Amino acid sequence: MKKYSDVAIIIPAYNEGAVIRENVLNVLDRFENVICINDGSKDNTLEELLKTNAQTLNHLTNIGQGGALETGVKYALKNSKIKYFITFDSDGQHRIVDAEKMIEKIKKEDLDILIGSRFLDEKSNIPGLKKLILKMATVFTRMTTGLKVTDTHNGLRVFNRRFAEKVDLKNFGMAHASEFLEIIKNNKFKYSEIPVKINYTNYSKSKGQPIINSVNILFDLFFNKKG
Amino acid sequence: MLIKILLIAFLATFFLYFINNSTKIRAKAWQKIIIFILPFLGIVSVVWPDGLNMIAKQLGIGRGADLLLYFLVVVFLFFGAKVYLKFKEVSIKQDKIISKIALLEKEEEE
Repeated sequence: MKKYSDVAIIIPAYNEGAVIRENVLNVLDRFENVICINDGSKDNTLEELLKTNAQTLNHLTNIGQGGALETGVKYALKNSKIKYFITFDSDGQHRIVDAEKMIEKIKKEDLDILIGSRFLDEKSNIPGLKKLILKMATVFTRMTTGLKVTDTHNGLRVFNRRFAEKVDLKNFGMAHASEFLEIIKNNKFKYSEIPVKINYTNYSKSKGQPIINSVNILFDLFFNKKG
Repeated sequence: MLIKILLIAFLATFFLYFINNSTKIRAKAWQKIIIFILPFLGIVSVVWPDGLNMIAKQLGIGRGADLLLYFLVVVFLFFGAKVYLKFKEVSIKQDKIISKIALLEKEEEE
């Protein structure tokens, strides 16, 4: 049974042709408004997306996950029925049950944004070096933004319209995660975290985030503060 | 002697090219001044290399050639940084445009 007619779930996809259709279909089982953004993929991601009932937008070239999220958020904002926005990864590492849990919580507690944290959950099996680098990124972000968060680079978030209207990112790459936190800080939004489990599948490990990407996250944090 | 003629010819061409296109080139006023002065200084140092040596000595650098090298390094880094920043700016604009196109295409489709 589908529900959540007031929720848009935004899924950016880049070269996920192998798994995107199955993952999107799973989300479509539970959510009515699924918005997918093909971020200039070089494989058949767009074709696979068009086979589903998801609302699909297409970037002519790759501009980065942050950019794809922004496109999705702007598109969802046009639908006045949408009250809540979920950002969700396309490679299957997020769980739909977590997203549903987050919707319940944000509604109940009247928050502006709710961020998933893999560090509040003991079940997530985070690879060693990646854990260290994410922890470092978190410590740094805590210092610069003063926000008490435990996981700054988690792609699973739920936010309301007030927050969505403030999404105007400068960094379309990985640093967009810190920009979300800056939006919280600059607008004094009510935020909270919730434990989520990340499925580090062989697929997501093999392609998603090579360790070198963590270096990019750190570099972005230190040197690419808002242009 | 030949190299001097070539260098002067090149610098003069650069200078003339800039004057001819100066109305089209969008540069800040101080940048224009620098671009005007540089070829002139270049020609002076080609014709009168001892002058460069004298300035270098005043600055505590042994030779004019070293002064030129240091100057070149500074200019190169400055130029590189400027191009990099400009590139970043243009690429952010391009990304915003690509996002906009995606939204417009979707709108058209509906």
